Amino acid sequence: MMKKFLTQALIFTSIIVIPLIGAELSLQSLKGHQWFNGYADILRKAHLDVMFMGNSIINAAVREKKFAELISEKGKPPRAAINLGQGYTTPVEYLFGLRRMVEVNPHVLEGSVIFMPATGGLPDTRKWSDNWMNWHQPALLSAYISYPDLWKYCRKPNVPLAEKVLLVASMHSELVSQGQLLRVATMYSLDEAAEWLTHGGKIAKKGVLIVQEGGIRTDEKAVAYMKFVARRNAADDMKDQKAVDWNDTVLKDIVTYVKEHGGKMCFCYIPVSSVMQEPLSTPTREQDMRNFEKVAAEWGCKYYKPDFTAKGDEDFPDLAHLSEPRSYEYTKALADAFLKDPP
Amino acid sequence: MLFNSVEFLLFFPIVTALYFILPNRWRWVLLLIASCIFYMAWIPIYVTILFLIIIVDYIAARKIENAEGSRRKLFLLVSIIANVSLLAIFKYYAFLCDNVAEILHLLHINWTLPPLNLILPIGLSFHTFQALAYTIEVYKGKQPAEKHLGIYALYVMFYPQLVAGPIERPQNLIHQFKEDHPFSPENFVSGMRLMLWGFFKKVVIADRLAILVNHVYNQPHDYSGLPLLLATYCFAYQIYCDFSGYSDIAIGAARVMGINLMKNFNSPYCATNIQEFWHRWHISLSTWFRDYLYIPLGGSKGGEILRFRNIIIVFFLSGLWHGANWTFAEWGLLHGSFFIVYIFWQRAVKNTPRILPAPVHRLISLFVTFNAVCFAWIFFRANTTADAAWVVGHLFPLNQAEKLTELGLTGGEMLTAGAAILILEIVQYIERNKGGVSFFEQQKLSTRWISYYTLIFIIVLLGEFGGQRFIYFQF
Repeated sequence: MMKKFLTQALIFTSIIVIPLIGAELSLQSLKGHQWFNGYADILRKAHLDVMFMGNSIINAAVREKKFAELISEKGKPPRAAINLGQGYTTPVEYLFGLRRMVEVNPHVLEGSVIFMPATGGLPDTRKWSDNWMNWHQPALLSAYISYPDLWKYCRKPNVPLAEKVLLVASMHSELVSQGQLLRVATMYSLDEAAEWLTHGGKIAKKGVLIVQEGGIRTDEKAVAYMKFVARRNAADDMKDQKAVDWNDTVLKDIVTYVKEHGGKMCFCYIPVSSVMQEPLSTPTREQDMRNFEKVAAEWGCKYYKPDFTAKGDEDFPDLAHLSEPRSYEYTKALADAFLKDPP
Repeated sequence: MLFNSVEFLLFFPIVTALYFILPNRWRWVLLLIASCIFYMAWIPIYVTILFLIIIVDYIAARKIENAEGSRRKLFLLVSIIANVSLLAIFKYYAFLCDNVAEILHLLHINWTLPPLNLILPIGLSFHTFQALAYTIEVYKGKQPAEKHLGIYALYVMFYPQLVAGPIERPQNLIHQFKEDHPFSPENFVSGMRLMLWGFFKKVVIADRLAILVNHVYNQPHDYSGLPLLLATYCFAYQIYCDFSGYSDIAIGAARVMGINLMKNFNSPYCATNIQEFWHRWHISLSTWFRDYLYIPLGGSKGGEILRFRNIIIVFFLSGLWHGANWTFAEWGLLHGSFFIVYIFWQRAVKNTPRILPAPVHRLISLFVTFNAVCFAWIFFRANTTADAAWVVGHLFPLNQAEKLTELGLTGGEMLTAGAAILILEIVQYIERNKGGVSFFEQQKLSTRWISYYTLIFIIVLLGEFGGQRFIYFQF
């Protein structure tokens, strides 16, 4: 009886575990080709001129190839720019990503310009005590975090055990770290199936996946959803606003790190919709913005405010990201400001 | 500790493995420690409340057994007062304060009872009711008072059913802690299967529907017609899958260790009348109220008026048991009224020949019962009576169809929830038609395994892992 049970349990488990091991091995072979890691490989020997780093708003606002083209000087080798803006990312992930690039090529940041967004005038305010990752995409932290930092993360009291376990598991299994992508892809297919069913066998417009495309979905439903998210986030941002001590932010450490490795850190103002601007228009936030301008100067960072004005909320189809046509205009304005006053 | 948490994912296999490693005489110690850890994952200090009530009831039961005459009643009274006082202080005091203040305000008196600002201990209503069942059964002479304090403490604290039931009877549970339960493959498989099914109900159906329900019911004034109707039907399935999912996991976790807990749900939405619904919904609570309140009040003896009074009292208190809010009381009163209407209806149609064929009649009865239950759920879910009144007043006409896509769930998520409910109903239908035998047990090995794999993949790929608490924890 017991023997039969154990045999069956073994077979039952094997049927599920063997394909998972296969999937894990396949994913392991692809490991290290996304986000900072992907560019770290490319930049193993090459030089980086300009890098944009931050959330999906900078990803949508800046057309990096256009920017590189605009700042390249005639008769000289063309400049290269990359845009690593990605939705739902954290400043800790950017810092660890930069560290990885430097590990691969210690000179990669020398003479490079690193741009981070001041979204609606306010750069990233998060501190080390805030969460380091979005638990829907652990790969963005697990791929870059070192063991000493992992230990620090695991000791953080405000992080649920589930997230700690997820991060540790993500570091050792690609299947876990990429699992959320599979979940997103599955749900996306189901979204399309639902649309197909409710629209008489038609799918109006194919969108793109959230994570793979830097957090920007372009289909009608996603835009509606993003509008809802933007309003909800704005309402949340209005609550319990506290003044930011910029020297206590992760941003400060990013600036220090970039400078230590020969890079130049810059910030660029990116306009946002009226919905997103509302929580930034409080006296607390306006003071934070004024303080930041002073602090940025103290840190030795340029803060560019391109000559670009949004015409209104119609420039932000989902109330969060600049529309594609307008992003080219913004990129041009940013390049002009950059050329006028280079760092 | 939540069943749908990483903590439990680690806790359960460790406790189960240790349980089978340890000799029988030490298992109660392990289960008691495990139960304390399980409970203390929330507010550790509150475990002292549990200890206190355990000691009071343990002593009271011993005294009841050894006493005679009116002293037996006195010790029972001590136990009842101790348990009910705990509920009164932690659960109903704030409610009382609000209502007293409200009444005094109407009389233009500005005074309130001093607030205690206590957080309700998780699952308090469950373990106090389970403890009361014990002392009452000892008083009735149906259960000997337990001499082993540890075993009695385990009866109150047994972790699978500690915070959300089933509310067990001492006759069913206490002796099981003393018996030897060697590892049994049948129990293991059957327990794990129940847990898997419970997780499916919780994370695929209940937690997904919760997004839509919360979206609408937290701002009901933004909606009318179809969104309100959809959210109400969704809540019916959310609460069923949330609570019966918890019960399945609890019963499954206990069964793996060879301990049988009572069935708490039996396809309640297939009930064709309100009486049947209460035989199928939260069985452990409805039988508790029947045995320890309805029957002692006189039950259906003593004339119609008394019977109706008893029904109303039981349902009113059953409503308040769920929460210190008038919406719960209204929910209870509605069910009590449905019950009385059903009694009159039964009497009216008793000698009337049936015009409709039996299946059609059954279908209509099912439809009416389900909708009556859903109507009552409006009061259960609404945050205030005013919200409930808004929902009731704006269900019709069935407008705002355009808003159905803006209720917090994407088309894919709605499709997932709909398909999962369909799977749930098909499985329950098959089980009902086979005399309650588990759907999985009816299948041959290959089909069974395919079903398990499918469930696992559905949970992993389509489960909602936002760490939503079980609704009944708050009760």
